[in-house]
Amino acid sequence: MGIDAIAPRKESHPSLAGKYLMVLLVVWTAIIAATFIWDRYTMRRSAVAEAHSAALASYNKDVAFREWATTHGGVYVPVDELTQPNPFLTHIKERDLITPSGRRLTLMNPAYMTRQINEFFSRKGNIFGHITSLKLRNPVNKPDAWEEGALKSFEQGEKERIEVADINGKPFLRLIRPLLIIEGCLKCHADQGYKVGDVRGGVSVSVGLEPYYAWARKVSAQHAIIYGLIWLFVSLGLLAGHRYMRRLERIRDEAKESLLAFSELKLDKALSLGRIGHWEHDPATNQTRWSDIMYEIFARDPKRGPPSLREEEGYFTPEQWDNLRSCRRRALEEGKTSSYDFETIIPGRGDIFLAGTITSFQSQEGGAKKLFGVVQDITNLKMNERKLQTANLELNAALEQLRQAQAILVRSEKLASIGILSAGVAHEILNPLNIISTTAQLTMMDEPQGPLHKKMGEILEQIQRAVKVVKNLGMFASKIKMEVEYVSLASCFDQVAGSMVADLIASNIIIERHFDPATPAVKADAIQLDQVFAILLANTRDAIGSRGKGTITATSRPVKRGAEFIFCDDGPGIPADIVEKVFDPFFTTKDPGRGTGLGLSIAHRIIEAHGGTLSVESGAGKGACFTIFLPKDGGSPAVS
Amino acid sequence: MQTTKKVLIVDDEYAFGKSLKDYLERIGYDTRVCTDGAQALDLIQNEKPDLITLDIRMPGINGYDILDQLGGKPGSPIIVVISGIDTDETEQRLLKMGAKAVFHKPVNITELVLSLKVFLL
Repeated sequence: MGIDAIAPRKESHPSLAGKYLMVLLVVWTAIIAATFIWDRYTMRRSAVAEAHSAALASYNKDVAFREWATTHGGVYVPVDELTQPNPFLTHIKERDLITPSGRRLTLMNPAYMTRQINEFFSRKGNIFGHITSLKLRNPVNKPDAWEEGALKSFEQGEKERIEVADINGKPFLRLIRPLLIIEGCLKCHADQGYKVGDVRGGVSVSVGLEPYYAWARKVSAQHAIIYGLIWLFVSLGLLAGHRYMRRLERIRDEAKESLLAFSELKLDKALSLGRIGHWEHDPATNQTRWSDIMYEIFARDPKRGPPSLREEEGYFTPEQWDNLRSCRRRALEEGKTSSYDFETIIPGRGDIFLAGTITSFQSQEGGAKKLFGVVQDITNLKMNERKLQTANLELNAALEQLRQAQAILVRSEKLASIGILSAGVAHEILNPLNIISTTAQLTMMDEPQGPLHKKMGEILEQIQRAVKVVKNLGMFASKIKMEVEYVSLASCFDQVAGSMVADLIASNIIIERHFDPATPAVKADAIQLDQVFAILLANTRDAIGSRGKGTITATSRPVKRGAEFIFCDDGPGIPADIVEKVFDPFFTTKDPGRGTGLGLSIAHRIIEAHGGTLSVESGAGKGACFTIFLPKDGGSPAVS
Repeated sequence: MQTTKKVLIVDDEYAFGKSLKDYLERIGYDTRVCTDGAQALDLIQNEKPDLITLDIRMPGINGYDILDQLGGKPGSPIIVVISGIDTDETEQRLLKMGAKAVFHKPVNITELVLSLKVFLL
């Protein structure tokens, strides 16, 4: 991954299922526990209820025995070791009887009988009966504190009292019910002032709870196993469900994460392929991430991590930095996306061009906005653009040269055809001129003075003019014969200017010389070059002459493959529409009779014959500049 | 006493030859004019002129042909070329072929006559 994960990976937050599991388990355990506790409680209550039933049954039996005995007015039983005559029944007649066979019988009253049965009965199990009363006949039947309280409350009309209490450290259910006076009771108890329906006392039964409790515990234990199994089973189900949900969640998270990672990877890859660096900045934590390409662009060691704000500032000029900061501010505050395009100097990389875009985004987890930006190194692009511009300029220059060459070619062809034409014409014109000239000369010899002599002189002058035209035309017809040697353009010019010095002074013309000593000598015919300079100087003299004074600036300098001589004047210049025509034969702006219109075309032809070029730049009022280029090793006649 | 020098003017322009002849005769030369190359060769053969003025461009036998035949040969007349063709190259060539001097049209009569006088001394 190209991105440095500096921010710690987010903690995997407790899953929803995890939370639910805890709650479900607690609730489930609570339900099971509550149910179990309720079950245990119910079991205990059942145990007590069972004991109560047993107690009640025992009570009913006691009462039944008592009533039975009472109904019979007591029971006579043989006197033995266990059963002695009741001392509390001494007031009863016939307490003791002797059977005809001599056996001793004694009367057992119901209380006595019941007590004895209960003694027997208690030996069989854990039910202990007891009869008691507030008005005792036999002190053995004395009530304890609880029985006494109950007996008192029976007198108030209560029918039953139950309690669970420890007796000798063991739990017992105790039950007590009132014992009411019936008819039979009065046989023995009438002396105590009872009447039928009075509360004589109470029958209490104590049932040992231990066996019931043991039973309840046993059942409870069985229930505990069942409950435990149910709890375990359901808990396991919950756990399995939770694990399943966790797995689903994990798969979903993983899928989400891998999707995110994949899309991040894809983004990173795509940006890398495009050599686009990208970065993220979290203003809340002030953490920045840089992609690999960022480090490449800024020539920074990835081990150093992204730069601090201060370091980053160092990469840019103050204006660029201001611009970047306002881009960031706009992104954060207004959510706007801005782009920039800088040329800057990066240590270790030099002058580079950067283009970038800054935007902001809200992360999926929510929270504050983060900055996101891309940066591209567009140096090559810019360089190519510049190269293209240069190439374009060169192309335009080449095109211009081509146009000029074409113009020169056209001009040369024009001149050549004029030469061919004039060669034929020259001879035919020279002959009649020769005849006229001869005649005039002879006439002048005959007439050494006078008007005829003068007129013949004028004829001869005009003939010379005509001859000059014809002879100049002849130059285009024939090859220029050259005797080439290495010539310094500057000294050649100086020589010609020197020969014309009187003329130039008369016309108030000053010559400024800027001769670069590095200008190479060129292979040329000195006499021909003299002619070129003479033509240029004469032309300028004629152009400036009308204004009274002027300056000629003569410059020589080295150029590729040869030398250049630039001849400028500050004369009236050549109007743009005719500047192209100045090298055409017979083209002249001079007054009739002052020029043949051949000078510059001859100069042009001479320079061309040397393999060089003669060009002009001018405009009305701008003066004129003639530029001669001569190749260093030219001089071979190029024009025939 | 000095014998009269004979001059032959060879030029297809008769008007020029005639004018020059009139002048040369006036200054004492026995002068004849010829406008044709072939006729000129005959006249040179028969009349044996001391000097000929020779035009180069002529129909038929031209100045070069005549120079070819006579130039530099013993007993040949002095040859002065009067030509309309005005280049250094041709001038050199003519002098090499035996011409004593080359004049260009239109001729400066004074200079020409001066040369003739010198050559015919």
